[in-house]
Amino acid sequence: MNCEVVKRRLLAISKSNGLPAELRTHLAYCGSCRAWRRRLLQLEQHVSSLPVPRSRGKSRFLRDFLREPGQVRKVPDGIAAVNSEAAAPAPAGPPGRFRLVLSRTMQSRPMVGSLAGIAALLLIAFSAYELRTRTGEPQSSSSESISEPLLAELVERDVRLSSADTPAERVAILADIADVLARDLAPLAHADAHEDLSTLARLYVNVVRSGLLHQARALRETERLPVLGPIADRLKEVANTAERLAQQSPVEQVQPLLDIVAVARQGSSELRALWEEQS
Amino acid sequence: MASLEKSDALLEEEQLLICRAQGGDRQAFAVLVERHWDRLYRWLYHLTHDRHTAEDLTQESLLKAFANLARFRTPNNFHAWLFRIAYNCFVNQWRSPTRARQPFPENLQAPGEGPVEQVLSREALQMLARAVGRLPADFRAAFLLRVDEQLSFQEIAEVLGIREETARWRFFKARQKLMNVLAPQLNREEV
Repeated sequence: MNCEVVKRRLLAISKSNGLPAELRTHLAYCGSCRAWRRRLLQLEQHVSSLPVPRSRGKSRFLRDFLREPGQVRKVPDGIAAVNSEAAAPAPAGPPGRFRLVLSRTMQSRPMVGSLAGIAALLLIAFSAYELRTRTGEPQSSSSESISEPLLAELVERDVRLSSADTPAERVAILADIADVLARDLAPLAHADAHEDLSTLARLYVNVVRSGLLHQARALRETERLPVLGPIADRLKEVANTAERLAQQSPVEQVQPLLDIVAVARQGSSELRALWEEQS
Repeated sequence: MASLEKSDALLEEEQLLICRAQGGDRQAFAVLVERHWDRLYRWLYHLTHDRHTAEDLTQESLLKAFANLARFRTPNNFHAWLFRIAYNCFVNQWRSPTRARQPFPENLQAPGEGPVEQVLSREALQMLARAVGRLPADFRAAFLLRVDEQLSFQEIAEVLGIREETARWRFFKARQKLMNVLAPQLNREEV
């Protein structure tokens, strides 16, 4: 047996013990293959010490998970959601900056067919977050005024979305969610709230791209005409607003706004194309 | 023998926790999260090369696991089941058109100067990290499940949704690629 064959066979055997007799015989007289095998084992021993940045999410996840009394539930057509009780604002702590607690749908099977987009959509549950209190920073009035109404509205739509049966219903609710998110752009763009704005932008992009557009494509042709035109107009308005805000905002706020501009423009023109296809 | 008994006891305890969690006991599930989060996160970090994405996927996987716990039927394989869910989450994220491609992080610090780092130089460890990070994701996933998580090939196949033979082949190819890249460096270290 030559050394190349031995090496290939060693690569296929993952346990250090239990080598076949013919390999043991070869290794007994071939120093080169012994050294090669030692390196292979050495390499794998060190995989467990490869550097990985510390995860800071576990304790936060556990705290939120234990604090929420509601159950994660699965709704009939593959869309899963948190119920309104679970998604309600946390009772403890003062209102403050908002934070994503449970993101994405919790679909129980790989995304398929027309549900792929909606399943990729974020289902949104925000909780009041005492970050500023914890860090000793004073709470700004803008963050207080933004988080709670936004939260309440998103939760309400989230619940409606989870029980919507048709693409038309979903399109209407998703467009509504996009509007609710877009309404808070201006206060966040001007505030010292980069993290919040980025979160908002990420949500907006997902709602439009993975949810709204996908569901719009699933609309029957006769449903497209009355629904899609107005939504396309609203998306265009959001794109214009976000673009204007990007020109006036601090530099670190620009990228999330541009992400919104891009997805809102894309959404508007795709919806318009679908609409015109019908008309 | 003692460690075997301990691991049996842990397994039994875990089965109890799973049963309680299946009955809706969130505290019991929280203990399971506490046990499995770090392993899951570590593997997902190696797949995504991004802390935030890995944390997000870990969270998503655990929530899905909780939501689908009623369907879980093989209590001695909870670890692999979690990894299976995590892999599906990863694949969905990977296929998403909005996914930002993550380069391998070059500035990660190796963890301290423990005995392991004394055996292999920091440079070699970085090389190993880079080489593992540059393996194709499918190979990397299988390789790490075997080497880091000690899963059997059958479990790896279940996690990745492939045949056992394919799992073996991916592990083989990953090892081969790593040895091609790293053997010269390891040679130098030995000199």
